[in-house]
Amino acid sequence: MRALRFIALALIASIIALGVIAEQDERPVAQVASVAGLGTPDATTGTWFCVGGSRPGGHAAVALELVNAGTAPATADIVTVRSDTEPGGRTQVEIGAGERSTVAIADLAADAEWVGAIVEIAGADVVVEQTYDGLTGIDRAPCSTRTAERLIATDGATRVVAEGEEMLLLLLNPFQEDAVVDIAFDADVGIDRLTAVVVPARRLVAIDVTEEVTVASHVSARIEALAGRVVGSRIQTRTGTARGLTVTPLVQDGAVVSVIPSVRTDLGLTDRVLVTNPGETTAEVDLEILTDGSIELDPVELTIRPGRTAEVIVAAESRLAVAAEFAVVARSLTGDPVALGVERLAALDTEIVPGTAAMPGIDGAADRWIAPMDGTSTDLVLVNPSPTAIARADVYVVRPDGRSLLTTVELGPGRRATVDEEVLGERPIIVVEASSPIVVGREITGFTSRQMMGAVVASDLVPIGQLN
Amino acid sequence: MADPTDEHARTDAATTESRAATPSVTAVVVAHDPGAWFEETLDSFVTQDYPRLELVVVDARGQVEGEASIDERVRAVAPAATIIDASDTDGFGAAANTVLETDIESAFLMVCHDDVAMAPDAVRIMVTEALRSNIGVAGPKIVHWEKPDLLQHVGLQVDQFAAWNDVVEVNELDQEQYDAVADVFAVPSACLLIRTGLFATIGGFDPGINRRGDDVDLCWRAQLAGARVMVVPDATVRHREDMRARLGLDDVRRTRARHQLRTVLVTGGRLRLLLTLPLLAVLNVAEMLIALVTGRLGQVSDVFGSWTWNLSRLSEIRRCRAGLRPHVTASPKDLAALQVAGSVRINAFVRGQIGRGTRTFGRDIVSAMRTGTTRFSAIAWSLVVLFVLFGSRSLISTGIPAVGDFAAFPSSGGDLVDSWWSSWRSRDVGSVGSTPSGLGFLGVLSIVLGGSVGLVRTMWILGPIFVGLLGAWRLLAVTGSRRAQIATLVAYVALPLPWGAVAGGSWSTLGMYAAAPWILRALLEAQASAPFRTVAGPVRPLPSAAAAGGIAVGLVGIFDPTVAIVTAVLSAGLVAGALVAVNPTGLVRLVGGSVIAAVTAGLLALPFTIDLLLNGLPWHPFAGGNTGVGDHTPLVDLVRFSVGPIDAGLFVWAFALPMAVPLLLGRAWRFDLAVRLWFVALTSWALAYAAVRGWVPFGLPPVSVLIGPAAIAVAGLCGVAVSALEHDLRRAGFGWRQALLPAAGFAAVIAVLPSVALLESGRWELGRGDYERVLPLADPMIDGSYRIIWIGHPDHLPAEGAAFADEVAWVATIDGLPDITETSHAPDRGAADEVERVLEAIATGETSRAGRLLSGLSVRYVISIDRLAPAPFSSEDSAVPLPADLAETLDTQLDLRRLPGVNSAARVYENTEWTPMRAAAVSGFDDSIDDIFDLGVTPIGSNIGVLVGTGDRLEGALPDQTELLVAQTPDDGWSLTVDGDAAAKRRSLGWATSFVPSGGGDAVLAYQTPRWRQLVVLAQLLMVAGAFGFVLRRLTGAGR
Repeated sequence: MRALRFIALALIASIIALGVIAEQDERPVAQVASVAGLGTPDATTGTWFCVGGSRPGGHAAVALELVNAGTAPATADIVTVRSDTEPGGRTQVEIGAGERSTVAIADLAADAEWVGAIVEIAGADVVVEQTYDGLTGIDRAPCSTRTAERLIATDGATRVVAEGEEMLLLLLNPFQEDAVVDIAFDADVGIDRLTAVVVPARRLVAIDVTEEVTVASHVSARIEALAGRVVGSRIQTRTGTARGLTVTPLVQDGAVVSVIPSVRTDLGLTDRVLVTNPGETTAEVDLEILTDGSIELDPVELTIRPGRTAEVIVAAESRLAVAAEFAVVARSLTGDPVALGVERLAALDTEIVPGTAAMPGIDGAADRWIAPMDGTSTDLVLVNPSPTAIARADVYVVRPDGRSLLTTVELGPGRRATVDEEVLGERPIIVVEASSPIVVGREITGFTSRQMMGAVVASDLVPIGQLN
Repeated sequence: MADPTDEHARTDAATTESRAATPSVTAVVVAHDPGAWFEETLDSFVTQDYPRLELVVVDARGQVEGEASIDERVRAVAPAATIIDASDTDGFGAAANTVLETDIESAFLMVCHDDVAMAPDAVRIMVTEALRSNIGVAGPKIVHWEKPDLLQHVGLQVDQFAAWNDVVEVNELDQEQYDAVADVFAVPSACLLIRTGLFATIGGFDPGINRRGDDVDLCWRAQLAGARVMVVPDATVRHREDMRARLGLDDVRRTRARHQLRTVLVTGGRLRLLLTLPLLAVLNVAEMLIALVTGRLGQVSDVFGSWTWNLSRLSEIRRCRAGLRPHVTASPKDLAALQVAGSVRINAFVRGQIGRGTRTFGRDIVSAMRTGTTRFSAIAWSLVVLFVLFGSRSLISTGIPAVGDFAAFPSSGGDLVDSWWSSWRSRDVGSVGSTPSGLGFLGVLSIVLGGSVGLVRTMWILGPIFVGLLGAWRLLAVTGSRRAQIATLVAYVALPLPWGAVAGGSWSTLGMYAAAPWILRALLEAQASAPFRTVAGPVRPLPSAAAAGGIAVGLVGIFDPTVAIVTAVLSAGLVAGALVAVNPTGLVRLVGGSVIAAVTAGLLALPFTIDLLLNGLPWHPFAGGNTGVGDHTPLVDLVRFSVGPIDAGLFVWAFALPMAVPLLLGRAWRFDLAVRLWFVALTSWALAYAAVRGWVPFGLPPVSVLIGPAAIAVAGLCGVAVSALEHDLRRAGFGWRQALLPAAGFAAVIAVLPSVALLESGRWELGRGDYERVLPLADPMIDGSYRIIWIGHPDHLPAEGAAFADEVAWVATIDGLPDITETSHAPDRGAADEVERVLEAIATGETSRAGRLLSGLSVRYVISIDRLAPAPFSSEDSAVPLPADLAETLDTQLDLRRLPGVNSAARVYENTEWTPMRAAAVSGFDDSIDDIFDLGVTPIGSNIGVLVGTGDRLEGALPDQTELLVAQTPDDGWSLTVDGDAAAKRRSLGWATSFVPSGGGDAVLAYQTPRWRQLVVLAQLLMVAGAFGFVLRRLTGAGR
């Protein structure tokens, strides 16, 4: 009996101990990639929110360009969203395989001061982008495939008199219920705030920051939705020492890790990397420099207080000047999402093409990208943000009669490569397919303008921070 | 020595003197084939010391060939007796009445049965008291024939329904406790003294009452005539009282029921009858119902027959009433003062004097209450019941909100029965399958209770707690230790599990709480290891034990099949425990018993079982909307039974000490049983822990259900601990073991405290409100019926959800919150896959036109709920928000409008492109739509909502030149008739049905349940009724 009692007690105690030991193990929490939380446009969703621009003759007259990189025709249903109370128009467009189609949405809402659009695509591999034509230049920006409750403009300027700088924010609410947003400005001249700005359902609202924050050389804006969700873009015009129009999608939510594919140190170019901390705590951010492998550079370390923006003028960082071009990865060491952006100014008095350009950081990687190219000179920039994987990227050009392989690029971990216009040709529709997730960006240079932007994801999106 | 002749002469002289001073008495002995005792009876009259006593023997049977005649037997003992032949009469009363046909001159009649023996002074004492107290009817103290020290009758208690009962307890010892002359309502006809004039005035006994009740009727009428009825205990009479054996006929119940009603009808005034008769009818109906469910069909027949018997004799009754009226001098109030308040039969039932063949139960209770442990048991039960009722006081008084499993009931019991009878399930997108059969029984119950659906719902929710407590009480009854039973009971009620289940709106957990003790006991009996085995063998045969377990599973399973899991857990735990205790006794029996129990349960839930088989044994009805992915419930919470919104606190750990006692101290079966119960608990916790860790590759019921077996095991261990302390502590030498007793007692007190702390709210922390009033849903009468898709954590949904994502489930209902008939899963899910395709597309962000897609499913609202109840009726801490990406994709649908101003616990999206569930649309409305996803490009054509409502029969007008889109799973049982003409039907939208009538008019859309399914339901009805009877008979001991 005594032995039996001992055995039973020992067994029961052992089982309890096993439970206690098992409980010590950390439970695996499913790290679901919050795809919907990424701001990178995603061509797999089928619905595009185009914040739009002005009517012809305004700051940035907008048109849509629908690019079909697929092998089958696609249909697009376009509903315009206006800034006034008139109902939006609706049209349908057929886009042939390997073709582009341009829709002047301003013509669908001719009397509206501002007009955007919601585009629904029935078909795969269709990309919707916006082209802008203003008095100060032209630009191009992808439409968004998602909305957000928090939007960030990392930079802007409102020195109208001195530099001819004007900044506007466009907010589009594509949904059935009104959105209400607060906007906080952080400028070199101080801070300001707009509260309870209503963005009515299916309406577009333009906010003239130049009126709100005057004579600021740097203005960042944080937009917090109290109700609803919106999508937005910043329109920046310059007519001073630099002249140009940049229409930049606002950063959505921010990210722990995001990438700017191309930053240059060319003479005459002023590239500024901007990191905004929209959170409530101080963020420690490393800007990692990814090159083609010919040179290794230490990261730039930033400490950013809540609500503030850190600026790195690349040209002013002499140690960066050794590399002509590189990618920048902003990694928040504290885990707080931050917004990354880049602004490029090409002064008028240099021999290079003048103009301004800007783009938000890309926070997602994928193994398939679509990149409609434009301009007289185009570069396709491929970045492998993975610290371990080697990516092999095939670059195709898509034409109505099919697609063909242009080149194959191999990217080591943390490496960057450029495919230039000589390979790409004129206004090609490029599809990049990689063996592991990469980031693809575009640099477009026209006769009098510059553009930089990311490509559009065409497969499963992976947050860059999870590539480890 | 005195001369005996002189002595006799002196006596004669005294007698003659006395005769002149005393009233004459005629003793009327009604003889009906008396036995050998008859001579003693006669002799007791002959030897009376009353001088003026005349003996009349009424022969109620007549001469039988081959037997000694009454005449001869009487003459042999009492030659002076008069013999009356009353063989043409029926019954005692009619025979006794024949004395009125003679020239009777005596002042009193002493009417007696033929099986009494008077004490020599009985007549004198009674007559003396009758004269002194002016008594109309007097009765003696009647004692047992064989044991004169045991009382038999000292008058009768009678209520307003003429039901009677003895003043004394059965076989009560005569200690002179009743020896005072007292007014009573009636005295037994076995022996009574009545004034001759009174007897003649009221017409003697009612001849319509042949036996049983004749005395009550006589005394009642005597009192109406102003006479006084008293018992004179100094006069003693022995009585055999074995009429049943002499007649060879057991018609006690039948004759009592008939004659009581007859007495009421004859003696009652008209106004009084208006009150009395309905009340009696209600009591009789209740009695019949109880008899019906306990399988006493004879009792049903007897009670019902009492009414038909009397109704067929209305003219006779009328004559009796007419004959009585002229003599009525007493007021009803005077009579009521002597009657027993309430119902004698209910009192007798409570005392166990009804429903049994013998009258021992009442005595058992009385004698048992005199023992300390039984009194302790009664106190413990009283406190436990008080604890539950007091803790539930707010739920009982203000109602239980419709949250979680506690869904609302339909407005009437008939609706519950209808849903049970129909095989169409409207939840989700419709399917064919049985509604949980238990709901049908609840419907019947609510009808029986006069349509009190709310009361039935409260019983349905709180009842399982009492059922579980009763099961816990009986778990260790076989040990013979009341203290062990009390410990089990108190531990079971003190565990936080049931209160967490109430707070969390989990009926599944309550059902399991109810069933687990019964199943455990049945399995232990099936295993038949000590103490469930005696030297003579198992205390219960295997089939009976296993069937009991199966019935426990089945009776809860007809409400919620997830309880079936409990059987497997208990069996596995018992097997493991038996192996560890190196006592494999009965393992084969245990396995066999489990199988029999499963089969029995399957039969009791026959419609559900058939549905399972027809659909390939799907698992989802048992998964409770879980996917098998883990959650964050820590192990300590499982072990403390701290699940649901209630925090059990640290004191629950105190249970560990009594649980350890039988392991440390127990010997023989105490140790063996403790090990088995420990392994039941460990198995239960292990399975629950595996579920919360995501180690099980499929969904399991909620963890609160999975830890149910552990709860009864813990309670049982507390009981075994008491047994061990009782039996084994005294054998142990002085040492640390002696400290276990006070320590365990202290621990028990500590362990109970957390549950006591929950008493404050009166509702076990369950919120006071539900989503019914906070959701801004449209009236379906305006635009037509619609679906709502509810999304949220499986524990928070208003019905059992289908797994959709990790910790996210969905369920679809029609026109609002689901009622109880829609809460559970049917094995056949119909076209639910279509919903999941759309939800998948939303979750993955593949569509921003969810509204259009959902329009094909007639979904008007998508409601995500974060908590069990809306704010402020639930804590924000208990919220399980929708995964952010899913919430975002819902927020970003272009045709879903999130309604503003909705309670913070819910997000309500209205589909701006919805289509009614039954929509009249022009032909071609669904052209080029072959699949739900085609709606993303091509919306459904214009339509209007018609045939609003739920259920399997809908009526309304259908416009001309339209088709009827019915957005539900297609089934051949549905048909549409318009002005009586059947409409053709075709597939629409790739999954739904479109009826194509020849024209408009009055439309009837109806579902015809297959005949075979109705037969299955009937078969199940019979089996469940039988199971109920089995259970009640076991509980009342009638089956033994």
